[in-house]
Amino acid sequence: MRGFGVNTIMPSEVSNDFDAIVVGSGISGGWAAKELTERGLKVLLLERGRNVTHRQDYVTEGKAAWEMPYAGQIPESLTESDYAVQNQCYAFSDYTKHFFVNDRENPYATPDNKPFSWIRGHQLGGRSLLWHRHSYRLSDLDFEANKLDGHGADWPIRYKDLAPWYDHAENFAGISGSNEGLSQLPDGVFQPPFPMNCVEKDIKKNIEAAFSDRKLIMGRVAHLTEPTKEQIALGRSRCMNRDECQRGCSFGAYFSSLSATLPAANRTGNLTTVTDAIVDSVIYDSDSNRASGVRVVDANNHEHRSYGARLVFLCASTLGTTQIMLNSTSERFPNGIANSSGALGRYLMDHIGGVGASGVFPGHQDMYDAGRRGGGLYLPRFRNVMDKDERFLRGFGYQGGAYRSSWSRGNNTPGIGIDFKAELQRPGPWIFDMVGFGEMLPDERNRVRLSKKNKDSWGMPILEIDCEHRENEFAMFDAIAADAEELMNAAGLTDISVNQDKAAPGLMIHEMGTARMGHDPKTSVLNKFNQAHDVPNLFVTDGSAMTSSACQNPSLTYMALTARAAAAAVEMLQEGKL
Amino acid sequence: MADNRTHLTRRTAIKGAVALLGGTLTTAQLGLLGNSFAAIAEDAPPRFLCPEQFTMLSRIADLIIPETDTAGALGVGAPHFIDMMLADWASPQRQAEYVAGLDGIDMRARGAGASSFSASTTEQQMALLRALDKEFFAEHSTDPFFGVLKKMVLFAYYSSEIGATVELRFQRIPGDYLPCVPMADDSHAWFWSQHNYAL
Repeated sequence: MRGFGVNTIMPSEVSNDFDAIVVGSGISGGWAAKELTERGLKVLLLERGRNVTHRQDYVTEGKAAWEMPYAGQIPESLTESDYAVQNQCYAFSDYTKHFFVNDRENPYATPDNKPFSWIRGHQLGGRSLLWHRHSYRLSDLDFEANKLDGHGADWPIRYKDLAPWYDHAENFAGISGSNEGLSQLPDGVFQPPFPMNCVEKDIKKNIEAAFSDRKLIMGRVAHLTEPTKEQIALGRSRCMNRDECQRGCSFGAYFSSLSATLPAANRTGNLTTVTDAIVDSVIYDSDSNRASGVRVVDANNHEHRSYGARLVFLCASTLGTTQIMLNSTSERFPNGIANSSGALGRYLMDHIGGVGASGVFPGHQDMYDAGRRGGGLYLPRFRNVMDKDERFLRGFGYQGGAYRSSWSRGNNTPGIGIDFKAELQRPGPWIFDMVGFGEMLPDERNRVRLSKKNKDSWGMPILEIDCEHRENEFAMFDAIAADAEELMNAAGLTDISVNQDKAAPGLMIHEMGTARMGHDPKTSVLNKFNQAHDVPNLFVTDGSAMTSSACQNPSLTYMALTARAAAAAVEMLQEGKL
Repeated sequence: MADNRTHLTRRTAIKGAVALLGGTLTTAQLGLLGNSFAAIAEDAPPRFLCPEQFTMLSRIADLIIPETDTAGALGVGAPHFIDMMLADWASPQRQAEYVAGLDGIDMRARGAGASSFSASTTEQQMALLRALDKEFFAEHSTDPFFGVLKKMVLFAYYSSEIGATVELRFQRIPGDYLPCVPMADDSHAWFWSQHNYAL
């Protein structure tokens, strides 16, 4: 069974006659392509990386350790020379490294004392192949936060504006999860949740009995558990519980651009996809005050060319989009297109994370689980929801889960020989762990700029990323650790250990905010429809549009914002406003 | 009944999967890789370690994971695998660490009166390795090498086909997630390929 591949064509065959150009084919770009083509627009999708064909190019899918070179380990010198940053990502391994960038070939700069881990995937599908698939709605607690405490600009939208688009995104993408009636984590359109194991059920009971303001729920993840007719028609089927998602999934069981949005866009007959096309800048036409197209550098032969369209959607990832916009200079926009506010490149956020705790659950020694569930649990935000916490603003949630440890516990267990081997043949104790995901405040000092000195091998000025955690983030890190320990105790765990290792900014891979939405063209780049205040036919719908970070995994919000923006853009186009 | 149903679901799923994957998963094809388990002949000479250190490594691997009713480290070819890893996977620093570390263990054996580690009796070898293991886990451990070596031996053993599928259990395509399954006395742990695993 094959099919639903995305047709890519050679640049020479491409005409210049498009209604819309979408830059980037990750989660946002895939959605933009789908929504615009389904509304009848002829769309050119540009991807800087190589083509990846769904199924056929998942070259490590299904392979076991003994079927891999070096049993799945990447040669140490290669990691050091080419993947020093990408290797920091939990999902980076020999099974997945072909979906991550080569750091040596894709440089960026940071100040010596301020590391930023920029995790990237340059290929058709982008990081939608690699994401962790947790999918949560933001609530008005999030959309009103900036206005209430004065950090960052006010969001120009509220939950009610996005709610129908969340419905639409969940319906199409396929999110499994449970409705819980939590004001800070709105319910949605879900397929049945993955089941909790015995230990997780006990821990849920214990935690919820100890804290009336906390709930431990099954994570809402973009895995099909009961596919819809539409999903089946796109060649997708239910999750097989392999937990090897980032290698690519031929079942199409997790949402990616390759499994879902691009096949949907392709079947309209309105999509043209060109890969290996690095967008260097947006072309600005001062007479009409419109973006007239984009300039492209061919990734392979470094030749320059341009494409024209009536509408441009930038979905090249937060920092990728920002780099393109900063590099799009003109007399009107000497500091980057649509940047009359000066907000472009500022207010960079990630989530804060890395800190958490783990412990041993003493019961259920006679029970085990089977299958490798690809999604874990979620403990939604409880700080600064009903009461005000004096230590920090905003909040955090946790992801976690319970599992029985396997042979690798032998690394940390004294012993050798017959008894040791016999011990490791059995499953080890039940371990429960959780790690925090906290909100980072928007701060204009956390910013990116184009280097004045250094360009990459395609002639693009490299990004200089200057971002650090500050007072509120450090106070929140402390609270994440303290609350995790308290939760572990309430859960009935023993041998509790708290992990205080703070992830460097970027490493949560939720970078966002550098072309933010807002009411005021003087302080923000985009309006309430992700439309550039300054350039009406330019839309930006990836993470750069985020006005605040909230603490929820953001991809679902990018999907909803993109779909909403696409609908608005087509309407404006039809009304002759663009 | 529930078990049967699950089993059927799984079988159906696997059948579907093989069709989906276009039969790309034959071990025969994959075994052609020079740097995987299957390709190294049992009697091939070591490529990185000198013969003496290779003999020593084989002995240590055998003592850490011996043959019992299931194959041990020798039975899955762990010494050759580790030698290949040192030749092709390891950084120069890692290579030096192994050469010096194995030397250090040999010195300890000589210090105890033997002419070499390999020439010691099994009891002496076992006693030395147990001492090194204890020292590694002691609070103020200064020499991490035995821990590094033990970790590598465990990785080699459990990442092999026999280690993963006979000693442990492995499901390529589980199909379902079964959250609470009663364990039998002889239930083996599941194997899964651990990503981004730091050796």
